[in-house]
Amino acid sequence: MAKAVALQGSMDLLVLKILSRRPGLHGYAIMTAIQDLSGEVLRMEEGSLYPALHRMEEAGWIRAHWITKETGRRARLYELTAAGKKQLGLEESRWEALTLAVNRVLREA
Amino acid sequence: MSLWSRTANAFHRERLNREIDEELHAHMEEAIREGRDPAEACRALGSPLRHREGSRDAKLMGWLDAVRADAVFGWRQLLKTKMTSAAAILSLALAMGACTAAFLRTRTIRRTSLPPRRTRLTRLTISICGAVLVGFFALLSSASGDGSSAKYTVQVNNVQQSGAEESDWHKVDAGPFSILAPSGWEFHQ
Repeated sequence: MAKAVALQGSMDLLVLKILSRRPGLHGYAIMTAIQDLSGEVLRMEEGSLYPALHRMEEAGWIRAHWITKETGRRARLYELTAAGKKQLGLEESRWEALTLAVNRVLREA
Repeated sequence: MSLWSRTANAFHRERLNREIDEELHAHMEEAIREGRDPAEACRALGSPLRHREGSRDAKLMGWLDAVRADAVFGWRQLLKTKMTSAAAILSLALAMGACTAAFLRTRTIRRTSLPPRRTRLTRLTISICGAVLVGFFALLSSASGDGSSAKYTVQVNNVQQSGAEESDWHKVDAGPFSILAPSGWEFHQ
């Protein structure tokens, strides 16, 4: 397994993208989805996902609701809002501009 | 929406903390259910306290929460020293009441019993000061024991409030100085 890379500055983008594809995930599922889809390369400090989720919720990009699971435990499920979709587009174009710029530097330096 | 919910959350801190903790707890349960070692999952999750702080900063207005905490702390301190607090509050209330009463009284007097023109206002003020001085000197001279010394009494007869002209003021010779007084005021020597 490749050494895990910390998510630096791209957590919002990845969380929004995951939620746009699969609405109604809880925190743990979002985390495992990011790890699985990145081939176990991208890894985050698990707990830091929650402050980020709550920040995005307050920004109005995602909304959350509680459900009671069959085990009797409650879980908090997240889904994207309209503002979140817009923000996702913004973050994607920003990410593309960034990677393009970094690639150009790597190629031409 | 965000502003409102952050304001509301500042007053529901306990519930907010409970929900954040519940979410972190649910995360741990998922990890264990997936067959991860509890100790390892706990380590990977990191400090719950730190995450709770982070979430709280995002979900409630920090300054409002601080103000609320300060108010609660202040109230507890007041209750802790009941007598001192009561004395401080009582003296503040008395001082405020006295100042307000004095201000209202002064305002009523100046509004109702003084002629509106500025010169007259000044003259009347001077004459009142003069009357006080006259009284003071009278007191001094009577206290000096000289039986033949002048005794001043100020008698106010029906102070005219309107239509009084410059000529209504008359000069009164009051011993060491002379003052201007409204026509209704008479000084008896």
